Amino acid sequence: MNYNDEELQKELKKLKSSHSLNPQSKESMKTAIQKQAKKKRARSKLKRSAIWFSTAAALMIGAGLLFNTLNSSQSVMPFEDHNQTEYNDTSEEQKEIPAESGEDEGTEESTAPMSDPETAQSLTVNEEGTETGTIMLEGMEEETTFTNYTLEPYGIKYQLTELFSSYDVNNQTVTHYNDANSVSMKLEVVEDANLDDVVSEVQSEYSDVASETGTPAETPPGEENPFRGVGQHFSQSPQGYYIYQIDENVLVIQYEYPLEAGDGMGPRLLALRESLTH
Amino acid sequence: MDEELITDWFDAYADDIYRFLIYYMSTTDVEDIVQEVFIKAIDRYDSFKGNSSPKTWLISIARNLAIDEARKRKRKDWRKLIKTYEYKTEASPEEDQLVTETRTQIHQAISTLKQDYRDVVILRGIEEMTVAETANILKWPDTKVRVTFHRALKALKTKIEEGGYELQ
Repeated sequence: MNYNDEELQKELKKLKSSHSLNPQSKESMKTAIQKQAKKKRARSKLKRSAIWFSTAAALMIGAGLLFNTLNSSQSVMPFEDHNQTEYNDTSEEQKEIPAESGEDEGTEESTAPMSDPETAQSLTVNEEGTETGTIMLEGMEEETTFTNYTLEPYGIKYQLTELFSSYDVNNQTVTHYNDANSVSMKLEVVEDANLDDVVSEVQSEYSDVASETGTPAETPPGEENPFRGVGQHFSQSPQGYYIYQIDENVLVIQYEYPLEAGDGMGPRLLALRESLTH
Repeated sequence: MDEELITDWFDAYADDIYRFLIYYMSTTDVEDIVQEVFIKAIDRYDSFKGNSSPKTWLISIARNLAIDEARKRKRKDWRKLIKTYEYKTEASPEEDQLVTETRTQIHQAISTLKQDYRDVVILRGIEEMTVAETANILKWPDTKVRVTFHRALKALKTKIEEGGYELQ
Protein backbone atom coordinates (compact mmCIF):
# COMPACT_ATOMS: atom_id res chain seq x y z
CA MET A 1 0.00 0.00 0.00
CA ASN A 2 1.29 3.48 -0.86
CA TYR A 3 1.08 6.44 1.42
CA ASN A 4 1.85 10.00 0.53
CA ASP A 5 4.05 12.18 2.67
CA GLU A 6 1.18 14.14 4.10
CA GLU A 7 -0.57 11.07 5.40
CA LEU A 8 2.61 9.78 6.92
CA GLN A 9 3.31 13.07 8.57
CA LYS A 10 -0.17 13.08 10.04
CA GLU A 11 0.46 9.66 11.50
CA LEU A 12 3.77 10.78 12.93
CA LYS A 13 2.09 13.73 14.61
CA LYS A 14 -0.36 11.36 16.21
CA LEU A 15 2.61 9.65 17.82
CA LYS A 16 3.28 12.82 19.77
CA SER A 17 2.40 11.94 23.28
CA SER A 18 1.31 14.05 26.18
CA HIS A 19 3.65 12.27 28.52
CA SER A 20 5.01 14.31 31.37
CA LEU A 21 7.24 13.53 34.26
CA ASN A 22 5.70 12.35 37.48
CA PRO A 23 5.51 15.44 39.76
CA GLN A 24 7.18 13.57 42.60
CA SER A 25 10.00 12.39 40.40
CA LYS A 26 10.23 15.84 38.95
CA GLU A 27 10.76 17.40 42.39
CA SER A 28 13.40 14.91 43.41
CA MET A 29 15.16 15.39 40.06
CA LYS A 30 15.03 19.15 40.50
CA THR A 31 16.58 18.86 43.96
CA ALA A 32 19.34 16.63 42.63
CA ILE A 33 20.01 19.04 39.77
CA GLN A 34 20.14 22.03 42.11
CA LYS A 35 22.60 20.19 44.34
CA GLN A 36 24.71 19.45 41.32
CA ALA A 37 24.62 23.11 40.28
CA LYS A 38 25.66 24.17 43.77
CA LYS A 39 28.48 21.65 43.81
CA LYS A 40 29.62 22.74 40.39
CA ARG A 41 29.64 26.38 41.42
CA ALA A 42 31.69 25.56 44.52
CA ARG A 43 34.13 23.58 42.39
CA SER A 44 34.40 26.44 39.90
CA LYS A 45 35.04 28.87 42.73
CA LEU A 46 37.72 26.58 44.14
CA LYS A 47 39.25 26.17 40.69
CA ARG A 48 39.28 29.92 40.13
CA SER A 49 40.86 30.42 43.56
CA ALA A 50 43.47 27.77 42.82
CA ILE A 51 44.26 29.39 39.48
CA TRP A 52 44.44 32.80 41.12
CA PHE A 53 46.71 31.57 43.91
CA SER A 54 48.96 29.58 41.59
CA THR A 55 49.25 32.59 39.27
CA ALA A 56 50.02 34.84 42.22
CA ALA A 57 52.58 32.33 43.52
CA ALA A 58 54.18 32.03 40.10
CA LEU A 59 54.38 35.82 39.83
CA MET A 60 55.90 36.08 43.29
CA ILE A 61 58.47 33.38 42.57
CA GLY A 62 59.28 35.04 39.26
CA ALA A 63 59.64 38.41 40.95
CA GLY A 64 61.84 36.86 43.64
CA LEU A 65 64.09 35.22 41.09
CA LEU A 66 64.31 38.44 39.10
CA PHE A 67 65.15 40.39 42.24
CA ASN A 68 67.84 37.89 43.21
CA THR A 69 69.30 37.96 39.73
CA LEU A 70 69.40 41.74 39.66
CA ASN A 71 70.66 41.90 43.23
CA SER A 72 73.46 39.41 42.68
CA SER A 73 74.57 41.06 39.46
CA GLN A 74 74.69 44.50 41.06
CA SER A 75 76.05 43.75 44.48
CA VAL A 76 79.73 43.90 45.38
CA MET A 77 81.27 40.51 45.62
CA PRO A 78 82.31 39.34 49.04
CA PHE A 79 85.96 40.03 49.76
CA GLU A 80 86.91 36.37 49.55
CA ASP A 81 85.31 36.06 46.14
CA HIS A 82 86.85 39.29 44.97
CA ASN A 83 90.26 38.15 46.09
CA GLN A 84 89.71 34.78 44.51
CA THR A 85 88.82 36.34 41.21
CA GLU A 86 91.84 38.58 41.17
CA TYR A 87 94.03 35.70 42.16
CA ASN A 88 92.76 33.66 39.28
CA ASP A 89 93.07 36.43 36.77
CA THR A 90 96.51 37.70 37.65
CA SER A 91 99.75 36.75 36.08
CA GLU A 92 102.11 34.13 37.28
CA GLU A 93 104.02 36.41 39.60
CA GLN A 94 100.98 36.81 41.80
CA LYS A 95 100.79 33.10 42.34
CA GLU A 96 103.27 33.70 45.09
CA ILE A 97 100.67 35.48 47.14
CA PRO A 98 100.05 33.24 50.11
CA ALA A 99 96.46 32.07 50.08
CA GLU A 100 96.17 32.25 53.85
CA SER A 101 97.17 35.89 54.01
CA GLY A 102 94.11 36.92 52.03
CA GLU A 103 92.32 38.24 55.11
CA ASP A 104 94.27 41.48 55.06
CA GLU A 105 95.10 42.87 51.69
CA GLY A 106 97.73 45.24 53.09
CA THR A 107 99.54 42.49 54.89
CA GLU A 108 99.31 40.33 51.89
CA GLU A 109 100.92 42.95 49.70
CA SER A 110 103.77 43.57 52.15
CA THR A 111 104.54 39.94 52.31
CA ALA A 112 103.80 39.11 48.73
CA PRO A 113 107.34 38.78 47.52
CA MET A 114 108.23 36.72 50.52
CA SER A 115 108.39 32.99 50.39
CA ASP A 116 105.20 31.05 50.50
CA PRO A 117 105.54 28.73 53.46
CA GLU A 118 103.30 26.29 51.67
CA THR A 119 105.49 26.04 48.61
CA ALA A 120 108.94 27.19 49.72
CA GLN A 121 111.54 24.67 50.56
CA SER A 122 112.04 24.32 54.27
CA LEU A 123 114.85 26.55 55.51
CA THR A 124 117.51 25.04 57.66
CA VAL A 125 120.73 26.48 59.07
CA ASN A 126 123.89 24.47 59.16
CA GLU A 127 126.76 25.52 61.36
CA GLU A 128 129.94 24.91 59.42
CA GLY A 129 132.44 25.49 62.20
CA THR A 130 134.23 28.59 63.41
CA GLU A 131 137.25 30.51 62.43
CA THR A 132 139.16 33.39 63.89
CA GLY A 133 139.33 36.72 62.20
CA THR A 134 139.63 40.41 62.96
CA ILE A 135 137.24 43.29 62.81
CA MET A 136 137.95 46.99 63.16
CA LEU A 137 136.52 48.42 66.36
CA GLU A 138 137.07 52.15 66.96
CA GLY A 139 139.97 52.13 64.49
CA MET A 140 141.67 49.16 66.07
CA GLU A 141 141.82 45.61 64.87
CA GLU A 142 140.19 43.21 67.24
CA GLU A 143 140.40 39.50 67.02
CA THR A 144 137.06 37.71 67.10
CA THR A 145 135.59 34.31 66.41
CA PHE A 146 133.33 33.87 63.40
CA THR A 147 130.88 31.04 62.97
CA ASN A 148 130.26 29.80 59.45
CA TYR A 149 126.66 29.12 58.55
CA THR A 150 124.97 27.74 55.48
CA LEU A 151 121.34 28.37 54.66
CA GLU A 152 120.01 25.20 53.15
CA PRO A 153 118.74 24.17 50.72
CA TYR A 154 119.96 27.37 49.04
CA GLY A 155 123.61 26.90 49.76
CA ILE A 156 124.05 30.48 50.90
CA LYS A 157 127.05 30.78 53.17
CA TYR A 158 127.73 33.56 55.64
CA GLN A 159 129.71 34.31 58.80
CA LEU A 160 128.64 35.98 61.99
CA THR A 161 130.68 36.97 64.99
CA GLU A 162 130.18 35.18 68.23
CA LEU A 163 127.91 37.97 69.32
CA PHE A 164 125.16 36.31 67.30
CA SER A 165 125.84 32.80 68.34
CA SER A 166 122.25 32.12 69.35
CA TYR A 167 119.68 31.66 66.62
CA ASP A 168 116.16 30.42 65.95
CA VAL A 169 114.65 29.17 62.72
CA ASN A 170 111.05 30.06 62.27
CA ASN A 171 109.35 29.28 58.97
CA GLN A 172 111.64 30.74 56.31
CA THR A 173 113.50 33.06 58.64
CA VAL A 174 116.54 32.51 60.79
CA THR A 175 117.04 35.02 63.56
CA HIS A 176 120.40 35.42 65.23
CA TYR A 177 120.57 37.34 68.48
CA ASN A 178 122.87 38.08 71.37
CA ASP A 179 122.52 36.69 74.84
CA ALA A 180 120.61 39.74 76.02
CA ASN A 181 118.35 39.54 72.96
CA SER A 182 118.91 43.20 72.36
CA VAL A 183 120.60 42.74 69.01
CA SER A 184 119.01 40.73 66.28
CA MET A 185 119.81 39.72 62.74
CA LYS A 186 117.16 38.10 60.59
CA LEU A 187 117.95 36.29 57.38
CA GLU A 188 115.24 35.20 55.01
CA VAL A 189 115.32 33.68 51.53
CA VAL A 190 112.59 34.68 49.09
CA GLU A 191 112.42 32.10 46.38
CA ASP A 192 112.17 32.95 42.69
CA ALA A 193 111.98 36.65 43.39
CA ASN A 194 113.21 39.86 41.89
CA LEU A 195 115.52 42.07 43.94
CA ASP A 196 113.74 45.32 43.19
CA ASP A 197 110.35 43.89 44.05
CA VAL A 198 111.60 42.58 47.36
CA VAL A 199 113.37 45.85 48.15
CA SER A 200 110.17 47.70 47.51
CA GLU A 201 108.27 45.44 49.84
CA VAL A 202 110.87 45.47 52.59
CA GLN A 203 111.24 49.22 52.30
CA SER A 204 107.58 49.61 53.05
CA GLU A 205 108.14 47.97 56.43
CA TYR A 206 110.25 50.94 57.40
CA SER A 207 107.80 53.55 56.29
CA ASP A 208 107.57 55.03 59.80
CA VAL A 209 111.31 55.73 59.94
CA ALA A 210 112.13 56.06 56.25
CA SER A 211 111.63 59.82 56.15
CA GLU A 212 114.85 60.44 58.05
CA THR A 213 117.07 59.16 55.30
CA GLY A 214 117.29 59.10 51.58
CA THR A 215 116.90 56.28 49.13
CA PRO A 216 118.28 52.78 49.48
CA ALA A 217 121.94 52.40 48.42
CA GLU A 218 122.94 49.81 45.89
CA THR A 219 126.10 47.80 46.09
CA PRO A 220 127.21 46.36 42.76
CA PRO A 221 128.44 42.80 42.48
CA GLY A 222 132.02 42.35 43.55
CA GLU A 223 132.20 45.34 45.81
CA GLU A 224 131.48 43.60 49.09
CA ASN A 225 130.43 40.20 47.82
CA PRO A 226 129.60 38.58 44.46
CA PHE A 227 126.01 39.70 44.52
CA ARG A 228 124.08 42.75 43.53
CA GLY A 229 122.62 44.22 46.67
CA VAL A 230 120.60 47.06 48.04
CA GLY A 231 120.75 48.29 51.60
CA GLN A 232 119.52 51.04 53.81
CA HIS A 233 120.30 52.01 57.36
CA PHE A 234 118.08 53.98 59.68
CA SER A 235 120.16 55.53 62.45
CA GLN A 236 117.66 57.11 64.80
CA SER A 237 116.50 53.76 66.07
CA PRO A 238 119.34 51.74 64.57
CA GLN A 239 117.98 49.23 62.16
CA GLY A 240 118.16 48.47 58.49
CA TYR A 241 118.39 45.86 55.81
CA TYR A 242 120.52 44.37 53.08
CA ILE A 243 118.98 42.56 50.23
CA TYR A 244 120.84 40.48 47.65
CA GLN A 245 119.87 38.75 44.45
CA ILE A 246 121.40 35.32 44.69
CA ASP A 247 120.59 33.48 41.50
CA GLU A 248 116.80 33.21 41.22
CA ASN A 249 116.35 33.83 44.96
CA VAL A 250 116.62 36.91 47.08
CA LEU A 251 118.30 36.99 50.48
CA VAL A 252 116.91 39.52 52.93
CA ILE A 253 118.95 40.51 55.98
CA GLN A 254 117.30 42.74 58.53
CA TYR A 255 118.98 43.92 61.66
CA GLU A 256 118.18 45.95 64.70
CA TYR A 257 120.24 46.99 67.68
CA PRO A 258 120.23 49.52 70.50
CA LEU A 259 121.90 52.86 69.98
CA GLU A 260 124.63 52.14 72.52
CA ALA A 261 125.75 49.05 70.58
CA GLY A 262 126.25 51.12 67.47
CA ASP A 263 130.06 51.29 67.49
CA GLY A 264 130.52 47.58 67.21
CA MET A 265 127.65 46.79 64.84
CA GLY A 266 128.96 48.44 61.69
CA PRO A 267 132.09 46.23 61.48
CA ARG A 268 130.10 43.15 62.30
CA LEU A 269 127.52 43.89 59.61
CA LEU A 270 130.28 44.58 57.13
CA ALA A 271 131.88 41.27 58.02
CA LEU A 272 128.57 39.55 57.41
CA ARG A 273 128.10 41.22 54.02
CA GLU A 274 131.62 40.39 52.93
CA SER A 275 131.25 36.78 54.00
CA LEU A 276 128.31 36.06 51.78
CA THR A 277 129.04 33.39 49.19
CA HIS A 278 127.05 30.89 47.27
CA MET B 1 25.67 28.06 35.90
CA ASP B 2 23.60 29.09 38.87
CA GLU B 3 20.89 27.01 40.48
CA GLU B 4 18.19 29.48 39.57
CA LEU B 5 18.80 29.26 35.84
CA ILE B 6 18.97 25.46 35.70
CA THR B 7 15.81 25.28 37.80
CA ASP B 8 14.06 27.58 35.34
CA TRP B 9 15.21 25.46 32.44
CA PHE B 10 14.15 22.29 34.18
CA ASP B 11 10.66 23.68 34.84
CA ALA B 12 10.33 24.83 31.25
CA TYR B 13 11.82 21.93 29.30
CA ALA B 14 11.93 18.80 31.46
CA ASP B 15 8.75 17.38 29.94
CA ASP B 16 9.90 18.15 26.39
CA ILE B 17 13.13 16.31 27.04
CA TYR B 18 11.23 13.49 28.63
CA ARG B 19 8.99 13.07 25.59
CA PHE B 20 11.85 13.35 23.14
CA LEU B 21 13.65 10.61 25.01
CA ILE B 22 10.57 8.45 24.99
CA TYR B 23 10.38 8.69 21.18
CA TYR B 24 14.07 8.23 20.82
CA MET B 25 14.43 5.36 23.26
CA SER B 26 11.00 3.86 22.55
CA THR B 27 10.41 3.51 26.26
CA THR B 28 9.06 5.60 29.10
CA ASP B 29 11.86 4.47 31.35
CA VAL B 30 13.96 7.55 30.66
CA GLU B 31 13.66 9.60 33.84
CA ASP B 32 17.27 8.93 34.79
CA ILE B 33 18.38 10.20 31.40
CA VAL B 34 16.30 13.35 31.81
CA GLN B 35 18.13 14.10 35.04
CA GLU B 36 21.43 13.33 33.40
CA VAL B 37 20.62 15.76 30.58
CA PHE B 38 20.30 18.63 33.05
CA ILE B 39 23.40 17.59 34.97
CA LYS B 40 25.33 17.54 31.70
CA ALA B 41 23.91 20.96 30.93
CA ILE B 42 25.34 22.27 34.22
CA ASP B 43 28.74 20.80 33.43
CA ARG B 44 28.79 22.02 29.84
CA TYR B 45 27.16 25.38 30.38
CA ASP B 46 30.38 27.15 29.39
CA SER B 47 29.98 25.75 25.88
CA PHE B 48 26.45 27.14 25.54
CA LYS B 49 26.83 30.22 23.35
CA GLY B 50 23.21 31.30 23.45
CA ASN B 51 22.92 31.14 19.65
CA SER B 52 20.20 28.55 19.96
CA SER B 53 17.36 28.25 22.41
CA PRO B 54 18.01 26.37 25.64
CA LYS B 55 15.45 23.79 24.52
CA THR B 56 17.28 22.82 21.33
CA TRP B 57 20.56 22.78 23.23
CA LEU B 58 19.10 20.48 25.87
CA ILE B 59 17.61 18.21 23.22
CA SER B 60 20.98 17.91 21.49
CA ILE B 61 22.43 16.80 24.83
CA ALA B 62 19.51 14.39 25.28
CA ARG B 63 20.06 12.96 21.81
CA ASN B 64 23.73 12.22 22.50
CA LEU B 65 22.88 10.57 25.80
CA ALA B 66 20.10 8.61 24.16
CA ILE B 67 22.44 7.31 21.45
CA ASP B 68 24.83 6.09 24.14
CA GLU B 69 22.01 4.60 26.17
CA ALA B 70 20.44 2.91 23.15
CA ARG B 71 23.65 1.02 22.59
CA LYS B 72 23.33 -0.35 26.11
CA ARG B 73 19.64 -1.18 25.89
CA LYS B 74 19.08 -3.79 23.22
CA ARG B 75 15.58 -4.86 24.09
CA LYS B 76 12.64 -2.64 23.14
CA ASP B 77 9.09 -3.27 24.24
CA TRP B 78 7.06 -1.37 21.69
CA ARG B 79 3.70 -2.60 22.92
CA LYS B 80 4.42 -1.43 26.42
CA LEU B 81 5.29 2.01 25.08
CA ILE B 82 2.20 2.34 22.95
CA LYS B 83 0.00 1.32 25.88
CA THR B 84 1.23 4.34 27.79
CA TYR B 85 -0.37 6.62 25.23
CA GLU B 86 -3.67 8.04 26.37
CA TYR B 87 -6.24 7.91 23.63
CA LYS B 88 -9.28 10.06 24.04
CA THR B 89 -11.38 8.68 21.25
CA GLU B 90 -14.78 7.24 21.06
CA ALA B 91 -13.63 4.45 18.84
CA SER B 92 -14.56 0.86 19.45
CA PRO B 93 -12.14 -1.46 21.21
CA GLU B 94 -11.41 -3.10 17.87
CA GLU B 95 -10.53 0.24 16.32
CA ASP B 96 -8.35 1.09 19.29
CA GLN B 97 -6.61 -2.20 18.90
CA LEU B 98 -5.90 -1.44 15.27
CA VAL B 99 -4.53 2.01 16.10
CA THR B 100 -2.29 0.52 18.73
CA GLU B 101 -0.97 -2.05 16.33
CA THR B 102 -0.38 0.58 13.63
CA ARG B 103 1.48 2.90 15.95
CA THR B 104 3.54 0.07 17.30
CA GLN B 105 4.58 -0.81 13.79
CA ILE B 106 5.40 2.81 12.97
CA HIS B 107 7.54 3.03 16.08
CA GLN B 108 9.17 -0.22 15.13
CA ALA B 109 9.75 1.03 11.58
CA ILE B 110 11.25 4.29 12.90
CA SER B 111 13.62 2.35 15.14
CA THR B 112 14.93 0.43 12.15
CA LEU B 113 15.77 3.59 10.22
CA LYS B 114 19.32 4.67 10.03
CA GLN B 115 20.40 7.24 12.61
CA ASP B 116 20.06 10.37 10.43
CA TYR B 117 16.57 9.43 9.28
CA ARG B 118 15.45 8.52 12.77
CA ASP B 119 16.72 11.82 14.16
CA VAL B 120 14.94 13.93 11.61
CA VAL B 121 11.70 11.89 11.74
CA ILE B 122 11.46 12.28 15.51
CA LEU B 123 12.38 15.95 15.56
CA ARG B 124 10.51 17.14 12.48
CA GLY B 125 7.79 14.54 12.21
CA ILE B 126 6.80 13.78 15.81
CA GLU B 127 8.09 16.76 17.79
CA GLU B 128 7.12 19.13 14.96
CA MET B 129 10.19 21.20 15.39
CA THR B 130 11.02 23.77 12.76
CA VAL B 131 13.74 23.21 10.19
CA ALA B 132 15.91 25.73 12.02
CA GLU B 133 15.46 24.05 15.40
CA THR B 134 16.14 20.63 13.95
CA ALA B 135 19.19 21.95 12.11
CA ASN B 136 20.41 23.43 15.36
CA ILE B 137 20.04 20.21 17.31
CA LEU B 138 21.58 18.04 14.64
CA LYS B 139 24.12 20.71 13.67
CA TRP B 140 23.15 20.39 10.06
CA PRO B 141 22.44 23.03 7.43
CA ASP B 142 18.73 23.74 6.89
CA THR B 143 18.83 22.22 3.40
CA LYS B 144 20.19 18.96 4.74
CA VAL B 145 17.34 18.84 7.24
CA ARG B 146 14.79 19.29 4.46
CA VAL B 147 16.37 16.78 2.09
CA THR B 148 17.05 14.21 4.81
CA PHE B 149 13.52 14.51 6.17
CA HIS B 150 12.09 13.91 2.70
CA ARG B 151 14.28 10.84 2.23
CA ALA B 152 13.53 9.64 5.75
CA LEU B 153 9.77 9.71 5.11
CA LYS B 154 10.26 7.76 1.90
CA ALA B 155 12.35 5.17 3.74
CA LEU B 156 9.81 5.00 6.55
CA LYS B 157 6.96 4.39 4.10
CA THR B 158 8.94 1.56 2.57
CA LYS B 159 9.53 0.03 6.00
CA ILE B 160 5.82 0.29 6.86
CA GLU B 161 4.79 -1.24 3.53
CA GLU B 162 7.25 -4.05 4.06
CA GLY B 163 5.59 -4.65 7.43
CA GLY B 164 2.19 -4.88 5.72
CA TYR B 165 0.50 -2.29 7.87
CA GLU B 166 -1.99 0.29 6.75
CA LEU B 167 -2.13 3.87 7.88
CA GLN B 168 -5.51 4.97 9.11
